[in-house]
Amino acid sequence: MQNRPEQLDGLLDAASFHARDNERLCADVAAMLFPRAENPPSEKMLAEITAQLTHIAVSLEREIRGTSSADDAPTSFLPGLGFQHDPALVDFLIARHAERQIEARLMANSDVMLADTLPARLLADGHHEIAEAAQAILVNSSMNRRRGKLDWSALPPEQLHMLSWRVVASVQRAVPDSGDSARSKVQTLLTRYDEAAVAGNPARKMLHLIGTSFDDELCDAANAGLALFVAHLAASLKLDEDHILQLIDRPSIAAFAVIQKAAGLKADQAMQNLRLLFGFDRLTPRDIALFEGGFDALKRDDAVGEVKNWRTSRDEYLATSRPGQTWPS
Amino acid sequence: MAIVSSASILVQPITGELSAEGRLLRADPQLQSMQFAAGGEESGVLAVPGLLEIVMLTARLKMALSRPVIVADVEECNEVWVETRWQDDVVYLSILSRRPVDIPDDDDLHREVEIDTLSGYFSALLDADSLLISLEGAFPHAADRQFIGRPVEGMLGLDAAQRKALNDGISSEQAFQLDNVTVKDRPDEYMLKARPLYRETGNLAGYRLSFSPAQPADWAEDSSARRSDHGRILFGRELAPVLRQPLGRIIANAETIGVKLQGPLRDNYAVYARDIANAAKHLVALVDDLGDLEAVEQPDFETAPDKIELGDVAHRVAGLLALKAADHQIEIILPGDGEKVPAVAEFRRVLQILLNLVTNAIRYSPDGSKVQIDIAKLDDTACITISDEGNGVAEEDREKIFGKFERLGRSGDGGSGLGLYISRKLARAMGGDLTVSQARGGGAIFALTLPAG
Repeated sequence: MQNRPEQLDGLLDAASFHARDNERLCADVAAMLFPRAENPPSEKMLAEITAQLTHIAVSLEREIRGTSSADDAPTSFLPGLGFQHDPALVDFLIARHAERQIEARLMANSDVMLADTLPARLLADGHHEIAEAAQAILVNSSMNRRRGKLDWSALPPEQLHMLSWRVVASVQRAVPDSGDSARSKVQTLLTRYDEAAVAGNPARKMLHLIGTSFDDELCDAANAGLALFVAHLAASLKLDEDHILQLIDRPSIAAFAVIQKAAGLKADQAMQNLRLLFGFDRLTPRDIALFEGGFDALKRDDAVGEVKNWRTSRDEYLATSRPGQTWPS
Repeated sequence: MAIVSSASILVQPITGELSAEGRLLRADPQLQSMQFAAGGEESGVLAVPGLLEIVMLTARLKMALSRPVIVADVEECNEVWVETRWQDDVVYLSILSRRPVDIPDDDDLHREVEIDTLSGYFSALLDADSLLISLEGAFPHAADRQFIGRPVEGMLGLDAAQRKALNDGISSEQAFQLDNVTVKDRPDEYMLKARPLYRETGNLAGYRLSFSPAQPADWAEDSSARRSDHGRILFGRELAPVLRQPLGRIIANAETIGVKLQGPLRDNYAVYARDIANAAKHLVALVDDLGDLEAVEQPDFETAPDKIELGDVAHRVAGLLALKAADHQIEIILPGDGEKVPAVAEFRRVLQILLNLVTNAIRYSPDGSKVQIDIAKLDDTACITISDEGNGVAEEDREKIFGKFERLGRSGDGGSGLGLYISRKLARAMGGDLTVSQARGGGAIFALTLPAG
């Protein structure tokens, strides 16, 4: 199909908008992720987060405008939405990026067959609540492994609510007569949403349902699977799952070692989890020596204290958009 | 939270239907029992705080939620799994399972750190060998990292008697207090309160040192000690920290009571607790305003001009207030990415002014309206305007509104009547001005002018 010159102008205009938007997003992500600028984020991470943010906003806009064709993908006012400046939303997507990275490493490094993992075994549980939660965990895990695109239904409810109404306001501004229709569509969209399927929620529910029955397996990432392993750590340490995923995905092994120490894992189990989730190929001899020399020497109380500092720091950051004093480096 | 057993999955979920205000429209007998145990009435507002919280959130978001909730009564504490959905202005609630849990520990140390941070104080954690392992809060020394891992004496300015008292106190493994302690190379004096920390085994784990501004020895007797060379009370430096501490504690405790579910509460008590927290937050804001007021009224008050870009400041302000605006479905319209207007001013002061102006715009605009921020350069002046779709400011009030404690007859909206007064003072101290006029649609338009960069 031939594009007319005015169409090309429109495309170029939209592209330049996006380029500027993305550039600012990169700066924001860098500032949020690495408040002391010690570890610059990779191009890959920035590209993935930017793509996910855009895809979510476009999926929302399509729903609200009632368009479905890829040809009329609405992009003209997305850069003006300001959603990329919302720390909670960016934080959520950074965690999703981390989750996919870690899930890929787990798949590559684990020799436990999927059918033997705890979620797969719980599919056959007599309680349908447990079986359904297991199924949701496996679906999310599969989605992560396939690196499927996230759409609006993947967002936490508060984020979706806020973003939806921003899109409505923008649609209304772009097409003033469309306000009533957009509001009606967003209300329909919100009633279709179900938090039960959102990342982290099925694992949290499973943990609630199974209690302490599988504690040993939950400390083993290969058997528990990433979602249940992280949910178990989160419950033990009073951290949220997204925070733990970000800590595991950091370039240094230190944060992951500290959270495992704080959760009371033994050294051999902690090292096994490091190999699986941090990645065997990323572990240097120096890392291993550091771990072997430091893990047992680290006092659990001290590790718990450090984790509390991180929690305070993150709470402060998310509440005020400012990093705290004790972000782990 | 310690898990003590597996969940009991209910054969039939416990269900109920509630109004958007949280009032019970229909409830299974088990839900009615929980309601009565928490002190509620048959068709009253749901009295179980955790359940009420998820019901109200469902009504606000109009979305299906699925979350664990703590439900405690006199005899036991359970975590229940709750699913809710919203349909035709009714919240449908289902409790799918319950699992006994320990009542959450009151995390004193964590809260103390939060309060210190909130209060502008700072604290230090020492290990059992008196080595400094972390610093929290507003530590007044830029080179904080250099002290970590070293004996705590290294970061303090102690005379011989104080050094002995510190060592004796730590050796005693008891709580102790030192007055008039300084941090190395810093003039301010602090009161140091030390509290021993113990491991679960009972052995000493270390010390927590809490530093709060020292009061002059003759505080009670000699009021002249509370006055500066200019004869003014040093509110920001002396009184404000003293006020912030109890207010911080009030907020932390009231929030814990109102939100953190330390057992069942009658619904009106939860509301009281939130009212207390809100009132205390209002007081903290007032204390901050009064501290700023005192600063801007000093004859030698000056700002630290720097090269800033007004579009960048506008975007940051919008980011900080995005949630507040979203709560009211208010859209903040920002300058385009390509628009840049450099100015010469102190960044944090400009941010402070704009936060005040945009917060006011959100507060006094109708829900669903727009707040627009524009930037422009006019000759040697950089200008940023904030316009809203509220009722505007009457012509006769347009100067009065910048007066000290001027509320234009309003009350109960959380304002102190100082924000605009301080903002204009700050603007003028930076070589600019702050004015208000009428926007085209009838709302207010505030214009902050600054020297162009």
